[in-house]
Amino acid sequence: MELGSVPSQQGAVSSAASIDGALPGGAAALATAPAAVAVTDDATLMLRYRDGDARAFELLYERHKGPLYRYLQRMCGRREVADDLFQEVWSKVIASRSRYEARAQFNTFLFRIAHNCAIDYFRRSGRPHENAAQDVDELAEQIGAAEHERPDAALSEAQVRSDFRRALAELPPEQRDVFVLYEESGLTLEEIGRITGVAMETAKSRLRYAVGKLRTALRQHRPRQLEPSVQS
Amino acid sequence: MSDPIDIKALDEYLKGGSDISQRYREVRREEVPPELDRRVLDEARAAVASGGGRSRAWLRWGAPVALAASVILAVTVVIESGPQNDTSFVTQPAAVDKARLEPQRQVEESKLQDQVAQERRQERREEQQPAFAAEPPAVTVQQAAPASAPAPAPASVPAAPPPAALAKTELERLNAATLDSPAPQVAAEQPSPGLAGSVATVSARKEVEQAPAEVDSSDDDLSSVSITGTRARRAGRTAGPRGTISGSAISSETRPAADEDAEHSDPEKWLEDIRELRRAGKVEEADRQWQEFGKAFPNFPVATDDLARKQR
Repeated sequence: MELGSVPSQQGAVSSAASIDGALPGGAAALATAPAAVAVTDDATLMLRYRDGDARAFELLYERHKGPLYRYLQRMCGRREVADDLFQEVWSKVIASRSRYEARAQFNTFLFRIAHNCAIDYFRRSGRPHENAAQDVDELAEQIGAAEHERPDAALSEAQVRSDFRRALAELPPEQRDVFVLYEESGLTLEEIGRITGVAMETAKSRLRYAVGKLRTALRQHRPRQLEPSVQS
Repeated sequence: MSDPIDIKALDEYLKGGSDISQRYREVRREEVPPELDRRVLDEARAAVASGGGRSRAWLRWGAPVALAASVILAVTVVIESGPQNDTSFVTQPAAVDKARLEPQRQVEESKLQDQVAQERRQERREEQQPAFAAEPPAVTVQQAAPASAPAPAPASVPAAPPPAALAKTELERLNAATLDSPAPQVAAEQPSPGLAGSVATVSARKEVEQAPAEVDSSDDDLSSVSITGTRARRAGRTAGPRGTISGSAISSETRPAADEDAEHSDPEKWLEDIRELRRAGKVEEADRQWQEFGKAFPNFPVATDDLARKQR
């Protein structure tokens, strides 16, 4: 499949939204469409970089590095591997800039490369998607970040996040792939289906299963409704 | 079977603002290490500094430039070759044409000679049996003359006459041998009407004299024949296949037998008539014909000891 062949402009919108990190992606990114009009779109920046403008690449990199890095880390579960894949993806973007066409959406172009790099890594390593093990240090960091809260509340919140992370890491690779792509890239289910090589309905089904499992993980931490011990 | 609750949760999630999205944003704290940023940006700058952009720009413009050049070349070729279709073969090397067409021409000549001889024999047989009812129109067989400018007066008659002249000579020889006719050349001027369409008149000599600048090769040079053929076609005259002796350079004409101009259009024939006059002792008439011949063909090579010459 040709790289970046989706002629949608949503990538520019979501990319512009994610440049300041205010809106992470997914459907929330679409709400920032009016604000993104004045921002140079990704395709233009990529074309400028293709013609030798290094500054255009820096802007492009700033827009997409966070979502891409998180996607790779969620997929691989190990920071070292994510770092290597992250650099490999950008190396491929740099090398393939001459093949990039303006009609292609850069977001699709970028995440397709990332998806293929991740798949190649799993094939090379001979093991399926690793579960993103919960790091004790990360948990401690999260607890420290909630110091302003009450200790018991902070512990409870950290536990919720930890359970959510674990549930996310324990998702089947295909479901996690679709969920993280949807959250990080801001692409539609149809575009995600193209990236992952499945039909839109299949991508939607995978996302539905992922959402259901994550919802179940969160439901465990809902406060139980207390009932009076003494019936009046 | 899909769980209706999951479908509802998915719809809520896709609308945005669900607790799942909120929780995900809370847990995603991963940031790109600065060292990784530096490496990626350095690689990007290095790629730009290597000058790949210029080559890509050239590749981007290469296809349109190549297409435009091809179109210009094609149009130029069409413009240059289109109007010259009629004479394009003239530009071919004469040696190649000659080598390629010489066998075909020889075959055509032999066919022509055989045909003329057969017609002649048949006509003679018809002449011997009934009386002359009507005098058929004459056909003048003109020889294919040398295309080059006439050489200074040779010492004798050329030993190797042109192919068309050979045909005529052969005709005369056949007529004399078969029919024992006292004047075969006269008979040659009076073929049957059917012969008029098949016997060709080689008019290259006359046309070369009229336009000597167009011809610069020998009598066997097909270029001159082709040029003459082109001129003939342009003039609306009948022309045969290109490059054949019966084609462009040869035309058929029928004339009345009493047409003296037609008789004198062939210098060889005219000279032969003058010789006959001298043999018959008609010196004055021969001298007068010789003078007229000199006026009509001032550059025609005639041997110094030719009988047709005026005796001093």
